[in-house]
Amino acid sequence: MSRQKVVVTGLGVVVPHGDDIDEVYQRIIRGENECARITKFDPSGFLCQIGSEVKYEVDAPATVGPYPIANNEALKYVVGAADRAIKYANLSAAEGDDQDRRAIVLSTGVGPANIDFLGPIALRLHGDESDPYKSDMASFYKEAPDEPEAQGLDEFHLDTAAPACAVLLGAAHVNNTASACASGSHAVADGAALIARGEADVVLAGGVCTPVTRVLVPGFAMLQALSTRNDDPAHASRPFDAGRDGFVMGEGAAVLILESEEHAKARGATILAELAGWGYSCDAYRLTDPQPEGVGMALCMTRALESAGITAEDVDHVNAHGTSTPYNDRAETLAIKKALGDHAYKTPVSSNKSMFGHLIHAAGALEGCLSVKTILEGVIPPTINYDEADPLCDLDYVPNEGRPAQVDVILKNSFGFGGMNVSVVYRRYEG
Amino acid sequence: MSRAFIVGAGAVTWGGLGLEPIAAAIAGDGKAFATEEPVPGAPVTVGRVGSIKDPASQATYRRWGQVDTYSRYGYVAARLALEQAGLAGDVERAGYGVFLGTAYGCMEENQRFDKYRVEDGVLRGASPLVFKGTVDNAPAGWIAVAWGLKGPNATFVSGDGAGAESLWAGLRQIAAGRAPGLLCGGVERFVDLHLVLREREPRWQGAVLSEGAGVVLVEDEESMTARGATPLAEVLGVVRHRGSLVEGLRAVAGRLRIDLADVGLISLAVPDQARLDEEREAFGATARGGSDGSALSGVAIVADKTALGESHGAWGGLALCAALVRLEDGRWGGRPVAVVQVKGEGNENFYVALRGPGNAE
Repeated sequence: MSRQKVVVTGLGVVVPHGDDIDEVYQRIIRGENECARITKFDPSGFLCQIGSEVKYEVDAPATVGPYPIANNEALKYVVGAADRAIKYANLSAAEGDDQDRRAIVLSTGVGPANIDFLGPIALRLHGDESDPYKSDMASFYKEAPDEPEAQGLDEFHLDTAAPACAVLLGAAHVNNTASACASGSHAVADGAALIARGEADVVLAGGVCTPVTRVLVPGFAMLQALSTRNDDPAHASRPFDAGRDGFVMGEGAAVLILESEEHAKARGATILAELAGWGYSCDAYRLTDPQPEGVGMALCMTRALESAGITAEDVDHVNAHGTSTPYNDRAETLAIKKALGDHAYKTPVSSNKSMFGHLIHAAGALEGCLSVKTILEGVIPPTINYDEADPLCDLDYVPNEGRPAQVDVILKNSFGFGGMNVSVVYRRYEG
Repeated sequence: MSRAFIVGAGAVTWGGLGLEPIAAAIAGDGKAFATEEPVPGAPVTVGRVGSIKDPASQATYRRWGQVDTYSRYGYVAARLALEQAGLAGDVERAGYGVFLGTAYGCMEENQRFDKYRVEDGVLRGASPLVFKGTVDNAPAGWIAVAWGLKGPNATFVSGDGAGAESLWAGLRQIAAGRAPGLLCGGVERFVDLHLVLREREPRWQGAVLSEGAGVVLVEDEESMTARGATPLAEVLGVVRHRGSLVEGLRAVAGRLRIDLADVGLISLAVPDQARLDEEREAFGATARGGSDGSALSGVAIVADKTALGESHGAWGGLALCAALVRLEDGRWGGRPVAVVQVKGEGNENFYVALRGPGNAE
């Protein structure tokens, strides 16, 4: 069976820079930073005190179908982003058998459940901040026998976000991926694969993450993954710069509406870009460190190019994973050179994370949205805070200022804990 | 479209490691479920695996001591599947992948971290090694690292359907030529709070919460043949369908071109005997009333959760292991095909169709 061409027809975000993708992109190409001292909890005394937070009131419904949204920050973000993307694509919820041709593919690992959610729920049940997980479960029954939150374990599932988005889109199928920092792009690639194989006409794909918590921040800091430039948070995220010392934890949600070209054209949709190819690989090296020579990273980039049917010379821009950790940026630079050969030195490489930090499960999708905007608007986002070149990172990182350019093909990289690597190729749509 | 076969299977259940405890549980002579009292005076029946010390796994990986309990379940099941498949020794495994599912993921490690006190900017008493277990894809990552599996690697967190989704997605990787084979299945580890809340959920009354892992090694025919591996069953496909059981089976038959008269075993996703009886009654009435359904008369309808418990995201993998246990002489109930139903999200179910090895066409 021939492969269906996959196109992008909608974008939606709820991220630190805002909830309108067009405005967010404008702020990004101006190099505006959103990394600052954490406000969601008191970070005094923490090794890392920097985060990139959503500081505005998110416009999202209190409930979606049977799913309560209001009490869950991550759900608010992703439902808000999904709502915006669906409207951007000028779609409405499908009904009846049409739902079978629609799917949701989301990455929600550190989102609706887990650390960010289990703790607060337990706290509400027990009401004792000093010991949210009382080992004496008797108190649970005595103190809160009718606690409404306790009735709905859906809130505890990792996967509540996808069914909620499925209600908005009218989708029969939901898929949830969790590939740590690679998840956002993983969801986008898996969503594209569904369409390419002819198993869906419309897919809402992306991710959500709310990791700026009092546990995850010191946890990642313990791994020496976070910047500790606490006295200068605006300059803490500095991918590829010689002075980089770790990433900044960010939060938010981003989704893309993917469609088969045939479906999009039939309904007269505005096609924003083509999602031309994707590739996966696994380092199988260490759980939390990339393979230092970038072998696995290069492999997934090469596979993505092959999947798109293009060569290295066709790539106009690399939207890097670019976390700002010493290890990642060095390995990614090596990998880009392996995958693109000499063309790597002619290719602008930039890291959007320099401005909003690392949104973990949402990162790849947000950077995918910005890649689509880059193709449409013709300005490559800068890597800000780039002051001093690292001899081991010797590519063109678009330092500090956005760069006008004709961009037809973007290679988007995402790499994660577990050694998971995903690359996605976005291409200008030629009707 | 390449054909795919299960060439290895491994399981971790509260009854022990491997498929033998599953066989014993199904036969009714395995370990009994345990009773715990997370709340004094309110006993709860569970199938708990608990901490797991497996010298055989420890011998295969020098960092075994860093692996958290949730990940150990998946790791041990994967080891058993790799060994049975002949891929555990000094052989080329680099192209193989790992796709696992889970509903609740790494809650235990996350909860553990949530208990730590932040003092002077650090989590007092916490270890960086333990923090590695706070990502849901930790089992798939550990397995890949330990065994050098550099093919596609993914973790699915789609609730109860996650284990089956891993197989659904894994087959597509094989079909696309992205991997000669993948470990597919599910892993689950519950926490006390989870247990208490689950018992309060009316729709789950009667289900016995269990934990563990079920993993199968699925491989394309060419690779399997080249390696000289022995097929345990052919995976005819995975179909996602909303609707009744009979409608689902008809969808399976239509999409995978299966003659319903060849189906000898239907493994249902219902968690207790009462619901199994209801399904059988409804199924029987439908089967008697329709020409398509009547072909299914006499088929064995089982619900292995009644013996193994409700293990949520792990169930997709464990259900396949249980189906393999029920496979004798290449046939299920005298017929070559088994259909394993796994509950998915919303009204959707996954249906995995298997054909016994003696019946490959």
